[in-house]
Amino acid sequence: MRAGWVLFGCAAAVALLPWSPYHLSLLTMVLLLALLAASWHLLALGGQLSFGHAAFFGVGAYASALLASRGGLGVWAALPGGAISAAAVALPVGALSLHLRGPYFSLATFAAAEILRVLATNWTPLTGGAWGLVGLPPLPARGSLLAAGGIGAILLVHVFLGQSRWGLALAAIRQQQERAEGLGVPSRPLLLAALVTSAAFAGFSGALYAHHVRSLEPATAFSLLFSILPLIMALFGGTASPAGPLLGAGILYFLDELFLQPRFPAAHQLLYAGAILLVLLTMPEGLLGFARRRGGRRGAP
Amino acid sequence: MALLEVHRLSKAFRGLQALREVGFAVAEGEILGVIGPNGSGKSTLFNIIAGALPPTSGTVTFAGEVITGRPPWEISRCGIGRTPQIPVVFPELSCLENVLLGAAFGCRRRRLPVALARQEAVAALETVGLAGLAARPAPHLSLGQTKLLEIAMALAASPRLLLLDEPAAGLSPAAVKAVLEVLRAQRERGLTLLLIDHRLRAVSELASRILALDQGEIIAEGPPVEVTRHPRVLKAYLGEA
Amino acid sequence: MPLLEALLAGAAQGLFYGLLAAGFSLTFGVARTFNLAHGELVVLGAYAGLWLNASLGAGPLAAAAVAGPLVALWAWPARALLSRATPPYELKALTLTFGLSLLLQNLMLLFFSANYRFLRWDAGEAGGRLLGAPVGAARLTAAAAGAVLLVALHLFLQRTRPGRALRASCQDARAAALMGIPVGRMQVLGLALGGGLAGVAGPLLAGLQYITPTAGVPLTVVALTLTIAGGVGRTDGLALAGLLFGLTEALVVALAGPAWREAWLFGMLLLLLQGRRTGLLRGRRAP
Repeated sequence: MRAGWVLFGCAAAVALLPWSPYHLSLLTMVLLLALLAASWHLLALGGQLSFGHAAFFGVGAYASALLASRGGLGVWAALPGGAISAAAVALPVGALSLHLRGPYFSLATFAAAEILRVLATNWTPLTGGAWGLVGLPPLPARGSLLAAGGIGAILLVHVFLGQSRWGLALAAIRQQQERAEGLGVPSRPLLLAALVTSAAFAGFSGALYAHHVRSLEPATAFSLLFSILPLIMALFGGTASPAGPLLGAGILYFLDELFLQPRFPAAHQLLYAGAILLVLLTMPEGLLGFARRRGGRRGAP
Repeated sequence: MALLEVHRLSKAFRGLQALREVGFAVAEGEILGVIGPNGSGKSTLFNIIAGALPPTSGTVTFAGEVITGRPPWEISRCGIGRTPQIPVVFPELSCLENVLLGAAFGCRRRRLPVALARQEAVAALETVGLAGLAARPAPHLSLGQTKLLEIAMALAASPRLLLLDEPAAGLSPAAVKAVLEVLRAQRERGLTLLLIDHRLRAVSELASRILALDQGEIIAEGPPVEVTRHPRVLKAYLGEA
Repeated sequence: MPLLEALLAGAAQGLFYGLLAAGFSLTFGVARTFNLAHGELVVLGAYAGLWLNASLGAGPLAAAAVAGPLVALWAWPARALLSRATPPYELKALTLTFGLSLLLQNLMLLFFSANYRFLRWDAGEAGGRLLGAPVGAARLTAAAAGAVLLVALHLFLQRTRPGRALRASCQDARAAALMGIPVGRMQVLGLALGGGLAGVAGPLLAGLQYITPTAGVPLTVVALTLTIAGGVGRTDGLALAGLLFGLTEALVVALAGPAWREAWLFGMLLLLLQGRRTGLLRGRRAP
């Protein structure tokens, strides 16, 4: 937990410094991806690994874009609008998937994300179809600061979970769902709450993305990449602490942008594939878990 | 009025009839033993009462309310606790945290602040004699200690009815003694128990009444002295004489 | 009669889909995980077929016969990878295949670039007519190959000793081991067969659609959907599910347009997941 606040502090501090536009843009991207990874991680606390977080990212992006460009709302209002829309979408998605366990839940979220992508591609009057939306209004403040704010908010959620019985409940559901239910833990409502909260943050991240790049198309906003990146980043960093996803996002994204893309523009995504295979095979607890073990402390949540 | 009423409960699994029109009642403060050979439907019965499985037909009423078909956590909140046949603890949590879960979420209709729940958890651990192991990770316990932990987890929720599925199975005589001590103490405090166990002697000593099941049906019901000598019960356990 | 043509094409496509699903469900049977890289294996086979066609002039069937065993070689590294997955096995293995899929896509992107490729059949209009409606040669070949391989697979699994041993180790690995079945070797066999069937489908696919490194994902989803619908390891269920799916897909496209093809596919998957893997035909085996 402390590591999380440290990272947050660094991020906020860094975000305030006078950077060049290119670096600021880089910082915004890494922070909003970190926020996305952290949102994915919230759901993973309950033992459900989503393979379709792009659904919430994309809905948040499109909702905010539409509210700002066609709905006449200022971007300050559109951003939370994106988050709320994504949270609303999480309700039917949850109804269709939360009763499934393990890999079946993952597959259901994957299917949901793809369905939303197809919807966005074909509902041309609303979403601009395959060509998407352009000329979106820019962010009203430094994107990196807004993203950092989102990260701070997620850390507050973790504080709440730690102080109340709900963090324990999520951990119990992850470890032995049926036993937890038998002890009185309301697993379904709790997992739904986790999904909705996770979706809200993912939607906010998407909304930031929309106004940062100022154009959207379904193939990108709902792409598999935004489903698989948060998963890889969170697993790579470690899921035992909220700092894990943040760390994973930072390391992987910077490696990608600064070292790989300039040299291997075609296959830079190999980094992510390699990272996930590495983690699953040699460091199942992620970077932080691995470091904690080396440091001698028990690597438990 | 009985605390628990089971009325014409049946359960079929894809062609296998696990329970056939089972019906009985349990009064408050009573200890009811449930015996029967393997596959007679005892665990299925417990699973249905606790809400982990839906019945094919029939109803379960607890304290006057029909609880059939409700999710397991609601049934737990109403006041029914259980310990499973094969102990299931939360491997990444300490013993205290395992019990804390029961205390924080058990049969409380009003929310319990974490501090108070923690006190209840410690008290439950003391009741079963595991207070010294509070900080130990749950998987590091012996089988006997794990079974006691299970009981503590269920007790921490202050249930009115406790379903115990083979609480002493696989234990050494010393461990069995420890478990029986705890159960006797709970009986003194007026907790209603439904107890599945193979040991006819242990069940006869604890229970005031015994239910005998075979192939999903009740074949005998009554005081231990009668049931253990009942011809159908003997036949089910020992085969044709 | 354009509708009849569409339905026939759909049925032929459906048989090909059944072939895709057969390999996928075999992998599931032995590895206890859905192989999310299955589509990429098919695409690998397709690239192999394209190369064989370009450099040796190999026809689609010859290319398929070579590509199959080639892709089947994945069995050994796959088994090594999967055996290193820690609990919870199911999710870890699934995520591993997810990562493998990304890896293969990017490797293919690196080596073959993103250009669209297609295998042109020299047969011209020699497609033939079925019930008075034309069916393309490529589709006919794919459907015929699919049907033949499904029957062959069925016979293998039901009538031969190694086939029955394979089924046994899918149903209960521990019991099979106790009965003297070399479960490790069965795993390799299952993975090799699964990969081989994917590899065979590849060059056939190259005659039906454009091949790019990212063409694998929809194929995996089709295989997944059909396996959930048809039941794991049930060749009859898979063939039936494939036919039904091919037909309904053709109907949807004919009535609503090509854009809704994908929506139908994912909608079906979501729907089937609700039904929780009971299968169209009552498979006695649950994964």
